[in-house]
Amino acid sequence: MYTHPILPENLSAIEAYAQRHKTPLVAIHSSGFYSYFQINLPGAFPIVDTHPDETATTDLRLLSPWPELTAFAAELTKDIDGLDDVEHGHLPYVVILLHYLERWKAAHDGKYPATYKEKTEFRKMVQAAARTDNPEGGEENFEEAAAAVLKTLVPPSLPSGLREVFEYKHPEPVEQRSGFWLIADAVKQFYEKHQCLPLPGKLPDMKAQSKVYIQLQNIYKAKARSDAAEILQIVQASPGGERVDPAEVDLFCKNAAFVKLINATGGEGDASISRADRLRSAAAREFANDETAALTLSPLSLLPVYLALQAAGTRAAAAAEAVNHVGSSAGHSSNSSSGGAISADEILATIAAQVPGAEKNERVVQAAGEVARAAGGELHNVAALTGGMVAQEVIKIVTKQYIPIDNTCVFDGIASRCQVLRL
Amino acid sequence: MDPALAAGSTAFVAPIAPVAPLPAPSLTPDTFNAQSLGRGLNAQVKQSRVLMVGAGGIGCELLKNLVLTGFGEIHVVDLDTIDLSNLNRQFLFRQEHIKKSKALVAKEVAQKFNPAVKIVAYHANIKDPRFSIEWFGGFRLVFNALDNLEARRHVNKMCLAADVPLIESGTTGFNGQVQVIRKGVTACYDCAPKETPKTFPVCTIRSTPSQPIHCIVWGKSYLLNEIFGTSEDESVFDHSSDADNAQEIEELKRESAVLRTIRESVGSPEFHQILFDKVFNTDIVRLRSMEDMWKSRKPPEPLKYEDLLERASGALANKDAVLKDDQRVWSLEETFVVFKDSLDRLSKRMLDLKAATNGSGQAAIITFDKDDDDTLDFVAASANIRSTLFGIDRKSKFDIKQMAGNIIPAIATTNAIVAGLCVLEAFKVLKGEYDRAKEVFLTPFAPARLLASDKSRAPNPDCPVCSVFQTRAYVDLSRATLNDLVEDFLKLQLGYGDKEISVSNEVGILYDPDETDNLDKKLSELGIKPDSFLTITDEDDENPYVNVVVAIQEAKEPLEDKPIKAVSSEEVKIPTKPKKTLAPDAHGQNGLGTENGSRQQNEAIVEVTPAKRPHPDGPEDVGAAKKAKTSAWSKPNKEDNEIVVLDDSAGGAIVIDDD
Repeated sequence: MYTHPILPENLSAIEAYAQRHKTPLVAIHSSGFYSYFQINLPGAFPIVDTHPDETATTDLRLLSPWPELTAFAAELTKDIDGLDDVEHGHLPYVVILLHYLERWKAAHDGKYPATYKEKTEFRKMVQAAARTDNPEGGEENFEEAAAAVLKTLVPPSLPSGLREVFEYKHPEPVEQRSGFWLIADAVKQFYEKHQCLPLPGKLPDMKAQSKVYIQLQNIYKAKARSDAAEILQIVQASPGGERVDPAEVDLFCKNAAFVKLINATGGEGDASISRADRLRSAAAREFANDETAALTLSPLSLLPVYLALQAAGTRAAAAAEAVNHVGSSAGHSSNSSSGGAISADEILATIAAQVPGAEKNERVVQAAGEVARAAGGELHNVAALTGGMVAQEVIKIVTKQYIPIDNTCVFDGIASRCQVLRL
Repeated sequence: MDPALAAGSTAFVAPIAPVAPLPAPSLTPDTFNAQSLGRGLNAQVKQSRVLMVGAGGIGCELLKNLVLTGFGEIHVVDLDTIDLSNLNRQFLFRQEHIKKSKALVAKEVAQKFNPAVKIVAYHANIKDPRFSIEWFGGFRLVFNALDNLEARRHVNKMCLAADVPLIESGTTGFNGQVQVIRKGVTACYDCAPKETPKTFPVCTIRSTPSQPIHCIVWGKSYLLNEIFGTSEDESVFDHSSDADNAQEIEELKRESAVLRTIRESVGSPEFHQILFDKVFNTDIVRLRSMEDMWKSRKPPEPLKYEDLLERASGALANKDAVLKDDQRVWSLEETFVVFKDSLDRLSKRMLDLKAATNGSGQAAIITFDKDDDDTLDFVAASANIRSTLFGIDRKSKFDIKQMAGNIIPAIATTNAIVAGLCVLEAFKVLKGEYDRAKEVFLTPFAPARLLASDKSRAPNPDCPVCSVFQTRAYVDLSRATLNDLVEDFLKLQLGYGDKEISVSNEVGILYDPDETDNLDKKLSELGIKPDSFLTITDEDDENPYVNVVVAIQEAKEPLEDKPIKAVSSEEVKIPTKPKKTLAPDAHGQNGLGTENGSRQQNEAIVEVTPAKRPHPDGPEDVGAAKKAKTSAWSKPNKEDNEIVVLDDSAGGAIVIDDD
């Protein structure tokens, strides 16, 4: 982590170190009411433990049941109309849906309900099957089943996060890759063979008799275990696979649908050229959005804040370097040496060199004025706030949990607002 | 210093911190503040007398920010003392400060950051009567850095009554929120209903637990209390029984009674076995016999003390290691060892306590404290044994501590962010820019944003706390009767006339047309003290007045003719309730109705603002600030000549904020 402004020679020393040791770098800049921080990760950064929303993690495989599940559901519902009210009212909704899906298939050339219209029709079919002649006038389990139709009747697909992982061209030979990539490769083979991901194995709470629920839960758990075991086998058969921790395989399998790859294109090629291009294209995109922001009621881009701050940082660093002779420059990265004398025009000139044309944008001019007004001074509370946010992102990176920002967060204290941009 | 600004911005006398002469010939600690804030705002900050309630997680961060930003006089109130578990995030405190007052230590440490500011610390409860409405009224701004609903509500109410802006903040884990509360301008803390602490149906806890938390509540609020405490802790149980379980509840009452007799044998050699077999065998066997209950649930399996004692010999030998291992889930045998050992410790303490309090009339009781290992071990062990019987997963002692102690994870980073935002909002409040004030939410797990802000909400016209009309009355409590209040103050001075009204306090109705028994009693006899609040409800059906809250203030000097007098000499005009037909509009999220609704309220408030105190953030000012806002933030200091029109009831005064 380092804070702007920083002498160019110190910065290049830090960057060289980070590149050599594959260390993530965080640049932080705070001035007046504005601040930003920028995370530079060394190469692609995969996260398995993304902590997705609990409700999103349910994967019941109703459209691709495996034999044990099908048999279990068929056994419970073979005489569905002959069940007494208690049994009928306690059929788990998973079993109800599987049963009526079979019926639907029988009536529709063996096809599952696919379109929205078919699914709503199917939902009506489930609703109609509930018994209403009981004292409650309905059945909770059937209500649960009807409510779950749209959410759970989804054919298995490859989520975009994982697709990115599968398609990633790893620069290093197989033997040098981390466990993550070995497992990802195994999951990819598994997916190609079975056309579905390993089962996470979690069963949500539902109306059911405890005994039946536990049986059902065990069917899901057993399938999840066997899927994970299959993947572990593939992993261990691959070069370097023997050092992969089986617990890591389990975690990957549980979270497979939510695995995320950050910075997939970073760390390749000449970073400085690609970054300058990226900034220019981001600027074109953000300024175009701002044109229509009033119509779409969306907030205005904070890119001008970033441009002004980093331009001031570049200027200040250059000025400090000019003043200090080589050899006596140590300790001059503190903000007091950044000098308060950078004018808005100087900031705009620097911006013009980076993103030609941006210096004429009214909001960039405004932001440059505000940065010039702060004269390199930091507000205690803005600095503290930025530090808090940086610390949280660092925690995400160090623990490899949750999804860190990708890759620049700009804070505007005047509007009390943040924007995350990929720059 | 601009004299006009000093007079206009505040009538409360605040010592003025030295302001560095500008243009600064060299860098001073304040140069950058002055540079970024602009001289006008920076001078206001330096003169501000502010109150911060709470010196804990947010409080430590916030006090540092306030001190370094240079707020002239900062009062800090906190009743807590420093605990070991605070030190990881409340960075003003160190090991040697444990058991000392948070407020006093925070002052002592933060003072060193900036000797130019004055810090006043109170080791006290904010609900203490000495923190009166008048005392609140002496601050330019109040910050809440609290951790509980009750104190937040109290400060919210006091700030509304004293007409002082409040910046409310809170964090849970990675989430946080900041909100500006200004009477009549933005929503108050109680405008949106708050979640009340979770309660559990009594039968779930006592008869049919299905989650670890049910067994933990059972251990903590039932078993521990029946054996060592003050009998059932009713607050966490929801007794709203329906006809179905009335019989079961009767049964449970009988069970508790038996348990209380077991309590008598604390300290005897058989005590452990009697207790264990009662709650984990006899009671469970009875529960199992209720066949209806187990139709769709797995029935619990009773356990015998002797059986377990036999099986636990190995674990017993390892006792010390087990007791230390709070991260791992104990086996049933290990749990049993902890149960037995914690019971030994608690029994001994109980006997000592009994001996110590013997004859003094004080009850010998032990209550649950998450940091008291004896009670925590006992709760953890009994909850885990019960979980085992009911086929529920056991939890580690560490997890149980979190759950039983209602510990909300608090982390330094979130507190730092929230405290930083509080100060940003404070700048806007000082400038009267309520239209720019934001409600900010932290959204740490939405990696596209991190921070989201929204316009401050308008006050809820039906809010029981802030939609009322507030006024204050000086009362000579030595002689004022309820009759004086009703006949003279309300009917004549406030202008209720012949309307049918009722008067109530937090206890209940004191007066209405059918309830006249109290009229001759003195207010003091009715339990009314300085800073009591009385609610006046207009019972008329047509065009009723909004509810009025009268804050009682003790008369400072003898009131000559009347025992009750309005604090303000202005004529009071109580607004009428908005017509119900308008209600749907007024509830609109951002429709015109809301704007109008809040506007009406604003005007009503301005009318009663005492003339002697110019109102820098009245609604008119918001408009003026809008006109001037182009210059407010974005232009260089030199051009920062903003003109703010202050509309007080004595007539418009123009204040020029220059540099």
